[in-house]
Amino acid sequence: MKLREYFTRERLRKIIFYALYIFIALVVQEIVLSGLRLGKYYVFLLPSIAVALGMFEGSFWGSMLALVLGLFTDLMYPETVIMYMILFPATAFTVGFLVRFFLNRSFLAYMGSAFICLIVTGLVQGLKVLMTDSFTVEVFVTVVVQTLISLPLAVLCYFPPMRFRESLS
Amino acid sequence: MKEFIRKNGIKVGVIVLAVIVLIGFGSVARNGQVGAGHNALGIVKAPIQKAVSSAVNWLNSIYGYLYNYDSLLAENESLRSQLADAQESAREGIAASEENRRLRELLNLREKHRDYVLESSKVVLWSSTNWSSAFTISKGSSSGIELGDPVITEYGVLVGQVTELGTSWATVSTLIDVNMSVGAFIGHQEASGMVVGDYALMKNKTAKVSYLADNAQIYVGDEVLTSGSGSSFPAGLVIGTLTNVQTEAGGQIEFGILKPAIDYSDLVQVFIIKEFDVVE
Repeated sequence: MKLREYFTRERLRKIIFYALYIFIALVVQEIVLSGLRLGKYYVFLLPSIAVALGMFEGSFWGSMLALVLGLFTDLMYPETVIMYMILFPATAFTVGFLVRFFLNRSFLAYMGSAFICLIVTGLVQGLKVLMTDSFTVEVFVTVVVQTLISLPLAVLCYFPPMRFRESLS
Repeated sequence: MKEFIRKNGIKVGVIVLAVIVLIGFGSVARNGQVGAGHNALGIVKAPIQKAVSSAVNWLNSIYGYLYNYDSLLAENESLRSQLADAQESAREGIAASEENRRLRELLNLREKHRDYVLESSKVVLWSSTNWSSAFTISKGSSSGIELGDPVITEYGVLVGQVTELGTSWATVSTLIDVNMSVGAFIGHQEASGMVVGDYALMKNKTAKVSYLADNAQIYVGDEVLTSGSGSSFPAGLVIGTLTNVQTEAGGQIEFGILKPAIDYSDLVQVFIIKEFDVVE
């Protein structure tokens, strides 16, 4: 198939949209949210992005986009090597699968999925700390607090891909 | 009428001129008093002058408002711009003054530690993660910085260590990070131990002093300095002070809670020790 036939106008629009979506999310996480702390805790926005990618683009393309997201996230954080490159595509794939067979793309379904994925991401991050450090309850407190303070911003991550999808159909 | 003026024009002109001259003489002010004719003219003229003057003033004010408004607006904008420039210069002056102070302190440090090869760098961005304590600096391998280089303040207080390196940037993990460990001497007796990061303590911006030597005695208030063991850090750098001494579960092993001597929220500029003499 020729490139021109493959890269239709709709596909190009999708590529540009999701490139911007992921770029803005990374910039917000790295630059804006680094200056915003609630007590001792930072907001972690990126798992919600992976959920949105899986929900609106399906298992395959959602996980491909989440792989790109995970790659740049791993580059951003010094304590991880390929953790997010595995975690985010797995998140997007799972959400895409659930949306295909069990869930719809409603806001409630998104928020429920985002909540679970934030908890899972926090536990994976905490597991890494527990492996290198002694057991401490503070890890679980951080997981819960990080999840709760990240949920309000997760709301904002739902609408851009939802509106974009509506504009295409 | 035309015939009359044609025939007698000159005569009429001379008569009119004569009358004017006479009125003029009659109107010449005598000791400050105007003449009757002049006075009468003034009386007639005055209200008309006032009316015209009022109208002219009113028109002037409107014109002035319209014209001057734009010029005042432009002047205001210009002054705002000048004020902004002056404020910017003042801020730069304050920043330069602070940097000057830090470099003066560094000079004192250099006098004491002539073996240090130092590279200064600004703190660019703190890592926005809940799981580590690190920040990015504005210099990297192109400035001769290497992985593992210690990072200090101008007062010789240990900040952390370079853990990631790029060409023009580097990541510094702070002393309280969970992956950090530094050999230390504690107190006047120089009890040897290790300062290690602990996740629960990291959230409180403190670290743990553990792996103490046998029979080591540590007390609250003891100053903790780097021991230089392992050759990762030079000896004698200030780490912090013990704020608490506790025992591990089991009651056999003591450990201390260390408060770093640096307030991380105040960090603006740091200094990387690129080279130092290792004292065995």
